[in-house]
Amino acid sequence: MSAATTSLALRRRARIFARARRSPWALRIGVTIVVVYALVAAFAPLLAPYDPLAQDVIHSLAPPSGQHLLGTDDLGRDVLSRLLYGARIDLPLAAISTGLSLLAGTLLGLVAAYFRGWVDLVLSRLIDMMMAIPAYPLLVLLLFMLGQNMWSIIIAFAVTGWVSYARLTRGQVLVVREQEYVTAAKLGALGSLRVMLKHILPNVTNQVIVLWASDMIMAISSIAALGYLGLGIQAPTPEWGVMIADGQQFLLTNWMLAAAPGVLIIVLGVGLALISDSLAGRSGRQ
Amino acid sequence: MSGNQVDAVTMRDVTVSFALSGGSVLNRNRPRLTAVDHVDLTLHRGEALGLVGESGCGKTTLGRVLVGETIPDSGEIRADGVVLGRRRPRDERRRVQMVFQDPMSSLNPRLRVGDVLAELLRVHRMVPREDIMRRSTELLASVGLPERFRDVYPTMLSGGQRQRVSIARALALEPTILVADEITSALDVSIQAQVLALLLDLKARLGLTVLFISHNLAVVRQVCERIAVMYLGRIVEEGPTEQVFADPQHPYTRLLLSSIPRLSGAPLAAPDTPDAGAVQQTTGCRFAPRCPLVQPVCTEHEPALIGPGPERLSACHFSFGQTPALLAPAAAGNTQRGIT
Amino acid sequence: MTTDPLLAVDGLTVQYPGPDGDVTLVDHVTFDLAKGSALGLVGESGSGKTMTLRAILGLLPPRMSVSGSVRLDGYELVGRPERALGRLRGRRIALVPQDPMAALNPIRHIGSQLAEGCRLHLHLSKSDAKARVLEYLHRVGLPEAEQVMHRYPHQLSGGMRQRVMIAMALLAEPDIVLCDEPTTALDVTIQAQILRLLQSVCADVGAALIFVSHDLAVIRQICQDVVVMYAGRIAETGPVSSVFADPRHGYTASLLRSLPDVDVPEAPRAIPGEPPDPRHPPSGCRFHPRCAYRVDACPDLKFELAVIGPGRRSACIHAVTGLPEPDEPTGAEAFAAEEPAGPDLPPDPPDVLGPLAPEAMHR
Repeated sequence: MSAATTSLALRRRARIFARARRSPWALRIGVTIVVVYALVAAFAPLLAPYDPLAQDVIHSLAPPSGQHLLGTDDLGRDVLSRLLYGARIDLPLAAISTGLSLLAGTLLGLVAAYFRGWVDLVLSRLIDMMMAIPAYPLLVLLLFMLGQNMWSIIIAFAVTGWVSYARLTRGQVLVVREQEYVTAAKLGALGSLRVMLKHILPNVTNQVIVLWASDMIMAISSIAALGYLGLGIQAPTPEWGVMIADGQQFLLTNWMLAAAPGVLIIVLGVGLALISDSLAGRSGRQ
Repeated sequence: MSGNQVDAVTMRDVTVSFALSGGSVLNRNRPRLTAVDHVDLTLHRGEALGLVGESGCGKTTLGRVLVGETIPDSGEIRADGVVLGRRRPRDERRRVQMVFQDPMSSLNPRLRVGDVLAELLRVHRMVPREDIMRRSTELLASVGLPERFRDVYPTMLSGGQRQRVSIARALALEPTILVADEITSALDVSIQAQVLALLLDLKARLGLTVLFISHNLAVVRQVCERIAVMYLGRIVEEGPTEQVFADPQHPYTRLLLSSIPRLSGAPLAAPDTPDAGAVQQTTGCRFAPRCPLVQPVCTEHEPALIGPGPERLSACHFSFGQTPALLAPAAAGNTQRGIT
Repeated sequence: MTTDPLLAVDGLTVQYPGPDGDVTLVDHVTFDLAKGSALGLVGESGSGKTMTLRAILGLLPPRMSVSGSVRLDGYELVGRPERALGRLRGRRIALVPQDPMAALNPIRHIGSQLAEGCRLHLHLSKSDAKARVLEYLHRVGLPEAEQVMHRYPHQLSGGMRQRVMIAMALLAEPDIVLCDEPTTALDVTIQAQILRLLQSVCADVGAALIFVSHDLAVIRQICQDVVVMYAGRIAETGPVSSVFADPRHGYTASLLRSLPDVDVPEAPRAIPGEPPDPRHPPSGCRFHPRCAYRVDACPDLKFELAVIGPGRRSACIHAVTGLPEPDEPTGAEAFAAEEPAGPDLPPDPPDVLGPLAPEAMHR
């Protein structure tokens, strides 16, 4: 009896959450969060009160005050400024690397599924192979090989990331290409390129964008994790993961140092998740 | 055959097989299913030929071969006397167009009706650039749709309207031959009759040759001058529609005709025969396992598609009041058309 | 006709809340089903025939509201809690769906799926259930029943799957079998077999049949009575033979004339236009914009089923007098699209429900 009522209550709560995610507000809130981050990244030099790299050892580890809204770190750098500048690192890195993955993966998946035959065979085996290799060790290996800078991070993420886009697109295109409107376009002798880009691709982009939004979350937390581990962006660059790692030793006295970048990552993740979920709900209802 | 005039379509000895699932793509000896098995078919200019049979008989595959969507293993397809090869150039493709069965999947949900028509007209340079809008409107008008449908997305259309748009799309390239694959089977009855009337009108006005693929014999009877019945990849009976309906020669055609529910309420003759394809028959007549008239000869020798004239054929040992042709050994294996 | 009917549907109305007020999908549908008889429910998409079937089963989506009355042996079904209805479904009312592939679990053997229903509804032991399943598979003309039990749905042909569905529906020897276009997806030769089977097996078990179809000829084959529906309302009802021989509603007559007849080479007469959008039904008789028998009073006609004979009723203005000569459309009009639903009106709004799935029956 009580088990039944709890399960009922749980189900009701799950339903409320499901409805909340599907409401138009979810998408609006998600988009607002991401846009705010993007604006901060764009205008960080105007918004930040200090140079994120300027040290002031005398005022190190200062608590929040009128002068330093979020205090200073162990080298006396202004935490707020470092956080704002951090958006210029984490956001574009994640966007570019996932964007490259998306472009490469989607095009490969599209071509393979459209032409089938040996192109598809080669790509499918490649996908299987990539799936068999754990992503993180590969990522770390690539970073060691390429050196730890922005471009090698982008390349490393693109090399490991395209697989999921290729897999998704290939599966979707295999379905769409059998639709009669695609056959009709082929019978109209419109040319393979046109059929692929105009008649097939627009019908799979929804799912790709949903994947991209959730992939962004993964990329941002991975970049932060790599920075935290010292494998990605290197200090003193104001990268959020690096900041968490640096602030960790002062958790008991100045917990803000580690918590603030953490909160920023979580809020951005939630924003992207809201976008991803509400888009997925939309395409699911179509 | 009508003398000097070239037939609209001739298909000779067309065979299509598909690899069955399982096994690697690289394995060339995968089991294959023969969907169309050495089929000959001719469409005269301006006629509608009804291709009927149950699901899986190969009628849709044959239609897709004609439009060039499916590449046959062997055989020759000519349209207006021109051999259609494996890779068809643009204006050969234009010649044969198709209208599909499912109005829900035959239009791209992302493209407006007008865009679909305009794209075809532009890519094929059917009309000068400045006339594209006018021509699109004209095409819509020819299928009974007003001009404002140019700006409408397919999701806003009903099944019947979608089917009209499909027809307009096929006509945009001014084909001489139209393959209509079950174009009414997904529509409500009241709408079916509209679409059929439209098709007949266009056929008469534009002189189209139509391959009308359908499982519905009643519809075929209204639309087609000639009819070909397919069973498991082979044509088993062929002839002028009225002759086939009045005097069906193949037992399969008779079974089809007697299975149709009648408004008069006449009881159905439906022997509980196994489903097509449920029984594999390697030798003899493919219909033998379901045939009510089966004789020993039927399971041993496959009957040839023969008849009293080149246009009236049946592939049964007992057609046209005959004794099995195989009793005369000379005729055995004779697949030539017509008995002389 | 004096005995109480097995199923009495009275004033059944189904509505769903739309953005501009309630939309009525089924509007005061009334009919009786006698024990062991067969009733056909005919109409085009959007006529409300499937919705009526769902309302009888109590399987409407949550947003829909039902009013009126559905009585099974005098027991009111409308407004009953789901638990009470669940007990009836499968045991007293069974369903044969249109698409068995969607209705059968693809990853379970046929045998275990059928036996489950038996054990659930009839509380049979495992071995008794198996014996009963075997018996019914034989009864629906599957001689290799033992093998069929161990097959998966995709290993059976379409006709065999539909036979399995019929066996499933009849296992509990229900009083009523509801059929939702069960032969539409089948080839004609198989359709003929399935229709004959349905008739004979239902007679065996003594079950009454409600057969939903858009195909008048199929209804003619297996039903004694017919209810013709248009845009949510009953247009005409009565014994099949007399309704088809002497239709007393413009819609019935038009529908009959639009059917191609395999025995006649004559072209059928199309009905112009399209079924109406349920959100904006035409005034008066809802068929009047498409009707060839229309008179001036039709757009103002009050909906009322007039009794015109034993068991026969019609809502047509010509119900009592009989239909006049039709006003035939000529030439291009015969295939011209009537002023179509505007781009601002997406058609088929309520048809988002998907096929009726029998798992729902065992909920």
